[in-house]
Amino acid sequence: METFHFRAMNTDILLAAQGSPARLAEGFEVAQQFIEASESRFTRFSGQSELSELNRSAGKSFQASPDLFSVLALAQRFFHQTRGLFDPSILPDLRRIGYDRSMDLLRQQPPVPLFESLMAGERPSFSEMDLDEARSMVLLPPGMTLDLGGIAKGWIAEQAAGLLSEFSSACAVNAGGDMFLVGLPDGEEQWPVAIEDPLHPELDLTIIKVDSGAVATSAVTKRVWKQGEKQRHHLIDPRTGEPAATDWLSVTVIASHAYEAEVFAKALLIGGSQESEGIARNSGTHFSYLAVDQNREIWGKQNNLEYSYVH
Amino acid sequence: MKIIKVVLHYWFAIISVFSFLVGWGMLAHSLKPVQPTQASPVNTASLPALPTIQAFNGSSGNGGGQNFSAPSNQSVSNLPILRSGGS
Repeated sequence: METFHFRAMNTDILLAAQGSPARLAEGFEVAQQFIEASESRFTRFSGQSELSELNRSAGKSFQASPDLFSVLALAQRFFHQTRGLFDPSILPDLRRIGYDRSMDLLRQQPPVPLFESLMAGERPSFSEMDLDEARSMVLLPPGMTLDLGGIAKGWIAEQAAGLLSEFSSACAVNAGGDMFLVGLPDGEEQWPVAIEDPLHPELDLTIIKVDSGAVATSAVTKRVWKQGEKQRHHLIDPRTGEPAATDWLSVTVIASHAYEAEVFAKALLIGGSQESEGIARNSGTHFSYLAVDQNREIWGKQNNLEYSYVH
Repeated sequence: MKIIKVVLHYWFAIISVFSFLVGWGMLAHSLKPVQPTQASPVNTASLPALPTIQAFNGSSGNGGGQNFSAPSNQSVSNLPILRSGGS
């Protein structure tokens, strides 16, 4: 199996595929170009991205590209399916707690605590976003700005895997832990996927075996920074506007689609052990999940998922 | 103005000399560090002797070591390591 690594979307991208090297080289190039073009479209860290244009257009109708419209439609669907725990309109809260630049830059220079950071402001509900499917028009209410980071990353990984699969009989796209797997490698019955220890990311906590489909992990230990004396992480609880106070460190979801896995990993992590059953029950979809608690013990709903501890 | 400058000049000089003498006196009358006159015995744990390199070598034939090798029935997979841990 051939592999190809590069960095995009502020994370490490791994493309893996089996097939003839010449065909795979072409496939890797096509997938990379798609990922980089999609990053330019969906990033909130560039004023020139389509997402930034949409955010500036709040209060007016906006003509969206098919890709952006697709992701917005998915976001609207998952907002309802998670009962608001997945909410892309928390961008003002992310900025208020200091996540106002890419994580690479934030790690180099932590944010200065501002007086405004003490107060969470009112923002319109994401349910007020209006999508006109026939004309691909989007209307954000005044004051609404969106961050499509996680769901867009999952969507991009899945689309890229679809492109790569045209050059390969089995392939995988792993975008910083959000992955989509197509087919099965020769001689393998399932794909082995290592789940990182959230407290020691260089170590693996467990290995799961999965079929074609998606795996995504959300963790409160990865994108962390200090704002003044406060320890911050990027997972905002939309009900409070603050970083989620959860008893879990990470949640991995195995689902049919990468964007779905990404969304429910986030929602389950925000909800923690108290709300996870309800979130899974009301999701209207089938997925398995593994949650890692503060003692590095694994919890979750396996649905015949096979996994084993590494140690 | 000139008188003030002269007074300040003498004042600093007197204070400097006085401070030096006070410091000297304090050091001269402070406790001296105790000089050890006899080395005190230190308890050390006795460690077992390390095995020789031959003990780890299967060809030595003395049976005192371990042979490390991959199990013969283990297939070597060329699958890439897919890891998920959030980003």
